[in-house]
Amino acid sequence: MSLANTFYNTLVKKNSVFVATIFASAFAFEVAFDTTSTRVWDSLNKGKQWKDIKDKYVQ
Amino acid sequence: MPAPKIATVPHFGFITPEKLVRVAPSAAVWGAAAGAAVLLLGSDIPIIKRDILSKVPFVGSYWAVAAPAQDEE
Repeated sequence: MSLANTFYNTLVKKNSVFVATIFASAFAFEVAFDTTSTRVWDSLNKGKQWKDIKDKYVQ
Repeated sequence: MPAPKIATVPHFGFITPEKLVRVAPSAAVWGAAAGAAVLLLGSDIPIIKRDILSKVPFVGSYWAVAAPAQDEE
């Protein structure tokens, strides 16, 4: 319960802190998720995407 | 015995300097929350990406990639 109590007392108790935490973590999560998923996609499709083979065709 | 003199602090409606001081910390956190909301909701708007977000140190390159693609049109 200690972790839950710490979470509640530091982030949830004051509504201003709660709302700020939500917006800030949403912003950070958006960047982190997008960066990570793009990196995974690029590594799964290495050599198949236009940006990988562009130099073979563009003079 | 004269009647006690009633002194009023300067006020605008119910807002007085004492009350402003008392709510200042909370208002500052609300301001930070509003700023974070503007960044979150504005992170898809090209001018905010180009002028604000791409200039953030270390992570600015995340938004800098999308900005030139807009300009090439």
